[in-house]
Amino acid sequence: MHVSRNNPRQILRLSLTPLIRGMGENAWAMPGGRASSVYQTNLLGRDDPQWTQLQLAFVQLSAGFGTVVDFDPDPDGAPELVITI
Amino acid sequence: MSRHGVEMMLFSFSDYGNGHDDFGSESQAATATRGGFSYLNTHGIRRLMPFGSWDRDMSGVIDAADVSELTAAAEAAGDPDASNFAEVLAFLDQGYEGTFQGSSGAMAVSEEAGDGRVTLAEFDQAHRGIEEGNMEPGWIAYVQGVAQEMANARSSDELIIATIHWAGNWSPLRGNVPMCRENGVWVMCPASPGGSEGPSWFPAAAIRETAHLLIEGGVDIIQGGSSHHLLGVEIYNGSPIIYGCGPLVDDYWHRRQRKQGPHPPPSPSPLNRWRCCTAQPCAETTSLCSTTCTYRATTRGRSCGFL
Repeated sequence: MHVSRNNPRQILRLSLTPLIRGMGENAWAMPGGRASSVYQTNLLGRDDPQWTQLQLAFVQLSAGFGTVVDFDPDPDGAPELVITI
Repeated sequence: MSRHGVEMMLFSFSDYGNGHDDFGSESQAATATRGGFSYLNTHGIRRLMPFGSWDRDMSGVIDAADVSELTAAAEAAGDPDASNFAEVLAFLDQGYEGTFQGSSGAMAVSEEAGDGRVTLAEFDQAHRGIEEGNMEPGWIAYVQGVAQEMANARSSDELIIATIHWAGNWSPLRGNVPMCRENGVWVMCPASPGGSEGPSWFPAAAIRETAHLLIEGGVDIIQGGSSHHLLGVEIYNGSPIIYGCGPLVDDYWHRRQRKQGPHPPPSPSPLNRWRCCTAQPCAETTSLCSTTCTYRATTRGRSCGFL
């Protein structure tokens, strides 16, 4: 999340990325590591095909609130979801 | 979150620990990484203790999330089994600068960040106020009171993040239909915000109303948890409400594999036990806060709770 410098309580931008990958043996505790359902976790690598599904689902769900979610590459070049407020 | 050069990240650790117990505890967490600091809030860790799984599972997760400061809350404060918390304290002693609080309702940790202050408030048992989309009597008044107290206690440059355990627990997959209130009457919510076919992945009206009240009361960001699936983001009065992003880690999957029985009946409403004392440093807390301070290993600034 990016907060205005002029107003420390004003949030300007919200970025969402897939979370931690590569936790080794601890991955057994993560349902997403077994890809049981795209709805159960966002623990997916950015190169995981389910991440694409997850992104689209998130965009659709947020649209229900009137929230526009854009795709934007992060500094690594991988896509992330961005909400401009 | 980028704030005056300070980076923060929020994670959800919804219900971690449930896979180890037939009557899963309530756990939720948010991690905020800010510069050299990180927060990890966990709930319900008490039930992990007998299984010794804290070290085995969580240390890797915490390391990977780059958590250097840990704040934990459990719903067993004052419980005779609270001695189990010693395992968490031992974990903190492994090099984490941490705060551990026993809390049975909600808590807030506040710290300087960049040019301002960030407060992370956690509501452990909100699900009991909005069980399956229905609000307990007094819930709205309680939420309004909490929001008002936070607003009164905040400083002008303080950003308040609320993480809320409002559950749901794959509600659509369990066949539960969220209820919405229309003209004072509870009815089934639309299948989706747009009215499409299929199970609803849309938060119940009680959840939305709770979130809106907190925003109106002065909370700046809300991160909801324990739906265990996406629920989307709403921007309300310029503040984001992250209804559900899915947990960073939980072990429900193992529980569900082992046992497909119904969830235990909800416990009696704890509303009458909740009191707010966020504005006071722990050294000056009343007896209402004393339990939350008992288990503190170290603290970085104001740290209080609700009981």
